[in-house]
Amino acid sequence: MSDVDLERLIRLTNIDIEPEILEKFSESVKNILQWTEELQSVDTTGIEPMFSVFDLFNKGLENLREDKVLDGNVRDAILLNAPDKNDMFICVPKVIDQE
Amino acid sequence: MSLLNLSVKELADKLKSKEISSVELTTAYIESSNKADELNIYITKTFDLAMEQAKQSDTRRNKGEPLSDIDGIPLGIKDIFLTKGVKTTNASAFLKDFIAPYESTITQNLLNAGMVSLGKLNLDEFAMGSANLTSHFGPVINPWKLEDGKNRVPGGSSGGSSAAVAARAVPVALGTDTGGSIRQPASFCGLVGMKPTYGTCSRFGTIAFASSLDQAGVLSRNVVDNAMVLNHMAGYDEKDSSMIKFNKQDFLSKIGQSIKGVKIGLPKEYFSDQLSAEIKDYWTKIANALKEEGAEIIDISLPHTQYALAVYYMVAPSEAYSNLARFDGIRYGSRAEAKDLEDTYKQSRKQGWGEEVKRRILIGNYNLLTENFDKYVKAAKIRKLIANDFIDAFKKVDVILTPTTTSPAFAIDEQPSNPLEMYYNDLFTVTANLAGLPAISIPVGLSNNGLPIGMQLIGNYFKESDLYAYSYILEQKAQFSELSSFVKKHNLN
Repeated sequence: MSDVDLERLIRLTNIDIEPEILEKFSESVKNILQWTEELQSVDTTGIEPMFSVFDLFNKGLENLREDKVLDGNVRDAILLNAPDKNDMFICVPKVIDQE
Repeated sequence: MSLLNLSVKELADKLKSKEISSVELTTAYIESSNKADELNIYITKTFDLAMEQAKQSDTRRNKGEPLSDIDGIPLGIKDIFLTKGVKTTNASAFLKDFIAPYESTITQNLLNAGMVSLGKLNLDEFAMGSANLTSHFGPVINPWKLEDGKNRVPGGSSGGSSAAVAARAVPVALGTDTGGSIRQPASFCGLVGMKPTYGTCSRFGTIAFASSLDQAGVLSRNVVDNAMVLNHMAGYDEKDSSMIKFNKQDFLSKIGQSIKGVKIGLPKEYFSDQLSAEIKDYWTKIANALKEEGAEIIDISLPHTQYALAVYYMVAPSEAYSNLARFDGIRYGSRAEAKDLEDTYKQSRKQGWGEEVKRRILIGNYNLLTENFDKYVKAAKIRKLIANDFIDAFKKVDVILTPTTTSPAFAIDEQPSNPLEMYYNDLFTVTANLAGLPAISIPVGLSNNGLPIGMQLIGNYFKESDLYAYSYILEQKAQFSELSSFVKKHNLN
């Protein structure tokens, strides 16, 4: 992966990364991605992708419970961990003046 | 005789006969836990809570109303399980002050069984690692030390759990296993470590790493202890929609059965170049020992094994990227000072996560780019081929025997500089996660220089009871009874 690609990837990931570890990263990310490239030569004709173990045993949506609220009124518990709050609200940095 | 010498089974019997109390037992483990501070196993100690729970257990016991066979037994919890009202950090700066607002199903199940929680154990940050070197709270030290005096890694990501059991700071501990994170540390610390079939233990309240691979399990000193605790963890939970409905088994029910006529497969692909000669010797030795007991040893092939690590590094980081997207510093977790909203996300992530987590989410996001969609699907197809290899193998054999790791624990200052080499630690363990199969590591002996070596048994789906039965025989044959140097040094026996 080129440096430009890595920059784009970092932007898309919405993350900032220390310049001193970026170089190291670029190398190791490249290595791992080369490794996964090897998969392209495997013959998978007629094979369905497996995204979960669940698919081997369950058909359709039989595992889903009825869509109704089982708990609630946990506002205080949720607010407990908010890094910035005011009364019953979570405060967020200003967004409206952004370009 | 020291209480610390006793297995969970023996402790349960003594609690039942009222020869000992939970308060007495918990006090002994609090003392031994404090001795183990130099190993950096705890992130949060909950000793006051433990004493309270122990008292309640004794009260129940005295009324003749114990909650289960393990009521009153102390437990160490990997700090990836949410514990209501107690700090849950996932070994990350992002969650260093996070107080869980609810309890994970797994820990709730064990509290319902009366277990006593000693505290939250160290791990690799967000469970990403094989050596417990990536924790925000510093590395965990393996209680097994050699004459060279070097600190060795306890394995990972459940490194605090494995070190805690091997140092006798806890009698038994909880772990999670995404690519080998219970079995590899169990192997590095001379313990039994079980990862059950995917969908056996609820993932509700366990902080997600890779949702289609993550599974909770137990690290213990022996096979029976392991089955006793897993018995109370497993079971359908409607809060986890990826669970698989199955008939509840008693994991102890087959222990003691003969292994006569059981077909054991040795996959030729695991005779890898990476495998150390002495572990290869142990593998043969254990296979022969089981043969002496009447098992039939059969050579098998799992032809897609060579692709497992690459598939894992397509699947796991991609799922991690998706799961970790919720960490933005807004509703919970650490929020960085920043100039606007977008910068808040960027800086919170920069400050909140360590290098390994950043590396994996970048790989994950790369895998998930629109232009890489076909490659991701390709990996998912090869995952199916890997699962099919096992499904075919289990038509011929009942269980598969392999080493757990390619080498014993390495020194902390000898960690590979290339992350790929570090990832090879999971070479023999990732396949069971990709296929979703139950797998267990059992200690079988020491390396030439004196470090524990583990063998892995992989079973068919939902065959945990059989797996425990075979493991018990293997344990009897291997007769592993060595104690870690830490236990000997501090006379914890």
